[in-house]
Amino acid sequence: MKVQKISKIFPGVKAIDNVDLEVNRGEILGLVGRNGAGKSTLMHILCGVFRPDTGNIIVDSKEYSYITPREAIRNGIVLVPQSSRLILELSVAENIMLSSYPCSSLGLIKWKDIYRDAEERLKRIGLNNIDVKTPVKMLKPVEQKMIEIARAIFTPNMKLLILDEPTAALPLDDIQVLFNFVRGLKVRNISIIYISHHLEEVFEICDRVAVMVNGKIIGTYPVSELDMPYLVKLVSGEDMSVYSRKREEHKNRIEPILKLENCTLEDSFQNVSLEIYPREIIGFTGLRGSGASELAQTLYGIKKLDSGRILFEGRDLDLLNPSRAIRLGIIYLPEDRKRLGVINIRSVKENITLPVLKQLLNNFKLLDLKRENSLASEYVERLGIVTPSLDQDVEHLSGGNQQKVLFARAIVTQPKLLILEEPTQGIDIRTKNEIYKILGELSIRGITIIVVSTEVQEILDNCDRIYVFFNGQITAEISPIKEKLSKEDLILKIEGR
Amino acid sequence: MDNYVKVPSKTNSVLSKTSTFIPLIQKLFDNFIWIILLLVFIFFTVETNKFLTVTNIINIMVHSSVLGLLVIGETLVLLTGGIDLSGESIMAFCATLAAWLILPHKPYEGLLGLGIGLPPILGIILLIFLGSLIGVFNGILITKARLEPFIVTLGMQIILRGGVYIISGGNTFIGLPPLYNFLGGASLGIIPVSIIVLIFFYLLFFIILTYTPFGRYLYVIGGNKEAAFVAGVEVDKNLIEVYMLSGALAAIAGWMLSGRLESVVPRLGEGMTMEIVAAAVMGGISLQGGRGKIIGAFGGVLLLSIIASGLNLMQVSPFWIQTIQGAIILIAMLIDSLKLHYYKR
Repeated sequence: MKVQKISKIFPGVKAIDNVDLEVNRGEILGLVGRNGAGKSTLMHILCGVFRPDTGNIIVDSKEYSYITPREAIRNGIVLVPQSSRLILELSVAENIMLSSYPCSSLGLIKWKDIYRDAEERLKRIGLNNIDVKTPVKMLKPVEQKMIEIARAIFTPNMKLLILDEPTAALPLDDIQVLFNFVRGLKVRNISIIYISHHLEEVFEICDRVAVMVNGKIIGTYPVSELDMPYLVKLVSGEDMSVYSRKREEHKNRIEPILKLENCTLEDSFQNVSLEIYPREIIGFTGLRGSGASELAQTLYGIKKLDSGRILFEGRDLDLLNPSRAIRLGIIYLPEDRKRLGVINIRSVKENITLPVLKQLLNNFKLLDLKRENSLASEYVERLGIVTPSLDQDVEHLSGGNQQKVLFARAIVTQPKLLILEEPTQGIDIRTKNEIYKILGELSIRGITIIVVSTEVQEILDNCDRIYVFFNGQITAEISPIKEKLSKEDLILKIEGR
Repeated sequence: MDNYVKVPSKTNSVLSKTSTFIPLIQKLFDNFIWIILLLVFIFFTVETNKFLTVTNIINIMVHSSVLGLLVIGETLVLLTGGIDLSGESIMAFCATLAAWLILPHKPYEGLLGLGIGLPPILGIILLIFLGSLIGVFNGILITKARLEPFIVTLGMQIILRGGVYIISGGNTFIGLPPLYNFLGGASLGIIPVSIIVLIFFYLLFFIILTYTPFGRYLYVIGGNKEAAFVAGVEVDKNLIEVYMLSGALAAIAGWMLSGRLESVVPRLGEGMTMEIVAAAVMGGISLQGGRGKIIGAFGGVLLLSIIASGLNLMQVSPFWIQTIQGAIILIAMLIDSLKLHYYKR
């Protein structure tokens, strides 16, 4: 499998610039690069979604100037995207056999065969303990991922499996499970392209790694010849250590900005009490379903408290909806950027100024478009959002830049309390650092910040205080300044051990 | 970090990194309704000498005015990602009720007119109020009861058409006062009032969509309803307002059409829905919501009226006119889909 001199031009951008890439049989090739470097575009070309403008794709010594999605599948090239394409309501067996249900001569589905074949296939790749009749939605995220990969590799004539950020939605302890599974696939002589922002994963699982910068592949290296700092440098184009802000202990704890008294939301969290002081950066962490995320949404008026009291700046907080929360000075950035965050088909400008439109009216009560433009461009500049223009639709920006647009939208409301959920998920290391810096800056300017994150290092590096959630309760409160806490200790606490 | 604290400079280094160039083909796609309109216009001008005359142009505009008002309402609703199928019945129902209340006499005992002779001006106010109210009702069912806009407004279309027959008993109201007929029938000089009103409403809603937060919210809601809610947009309130406006505009369209006909027939506006949706969509209003310009929708209205008028003048059979209009809608949609394909490539 080989591509030669591939280029792809989108209106206004050269997304892929003369790229050569070669994947050997049975190897795991890592593909790393910043958001917008062109990784997904390149992969989409391999799967036939996009047509390259120049270059060749060579599969098994057959040469193509482009391939259609059908040809890609016939040649055994399958992509497992970051977000699942399984049909959640259907059973494991139905999902695995989806493209080829065995039918009787009357054209009716033979259900017994489906279950038997699916079970046999799963056994062959070592997934013995999954019941093929369970609906996929009942499975753990890691099991869902493995089922999706299993479905892909049973494509007839399977040769190249492309995994896009397979660990993005997985809890910590399950990542190893997935890695063992993927390593097992190598024996089946399948080539794998592994895309990830977590560079440490690349060292753990890949044989070689290709680094992409600005639409070009700047080099392909055997993993054994690389070390972490050098790879970081290659990816970001500069020396960079992970930013860690100087933290301070907030001694001036007279008046909390936010106070929770015995707050309960059935099925999510129970009897939570805590106090947060101005200018603190607070971490909420815990496994998925621990209640941290639900609490954050409650503070923004998306979910309603069943009992208990929330005091914001000493007054009872009675949130009807997000619009009210914004007026009181609370803003929230959701984890699910695509679904709850950006307005994909509208421009960068409109996305940024959305919550403050009513403050941009002139004497005739009409929008002052000039002021809106200058406000939006001020924030684009401040946060270093890379976009060809303010009128560019947000869907054409990279994930990191989309997240920055959401940051701009949040800051433009001049909040007192900023609540972030998984602020750096799916974002490259350099943009991550930029976001951490922004957080530090905002706290210096007097904004209180709550970061809800399952990324332990991020919480440890940036937060003044950490609340650990487990099963709907706060099980620990930690001040990293006072007590030295290792990553491993915190993981143990998160897992409730 | 320095970059962040610094007062932003006027030069926009990040923005100017790559230039924005819009290829010609994209420009053509964005304005394709006007290109088609021009071609059709030229075709009819060449084919028949009765087409390009002042009387005929005014005629086309008059025929555009009722459809045009309905299309404004439809455009607003489509932008939010919904659809309103009730317009054609709202116009008939409101006009029927107003005529019933206004007519002072009962020429055929028990059939026509309530006989209370409501002052026309009150009747007109009531008509607009009623249209808004029906729209609000649509909006509440869609937002609070979370029903599909398609189902709610289809149901409303059928209910209200039934209501028309209940009130009128299937008869036509005639003899409406001149004040009522003014909007649809009167002229200032040679320019009919309905054309002036049409242009006024298009300008008004152009301003609303471009220069008010409300207008912006419609696009945003259509783009991603859930994200709009999280960003602090009061989605339900705005949606109810949109269906209210659509209802009010339909009522005014009913007033206009019955004024032009100087009567209220029970079949007023029947079967216009597809024309309304088609005009908006041909004008570039996306059925998925979030995209499109009101001025384009106006182009869609003009296109449908021009085709009807031109074919009529060429003495094409009405059966063929309908067939050709349908074909043109399909072709326009095809080009629209090619456009989307081009953007996504």
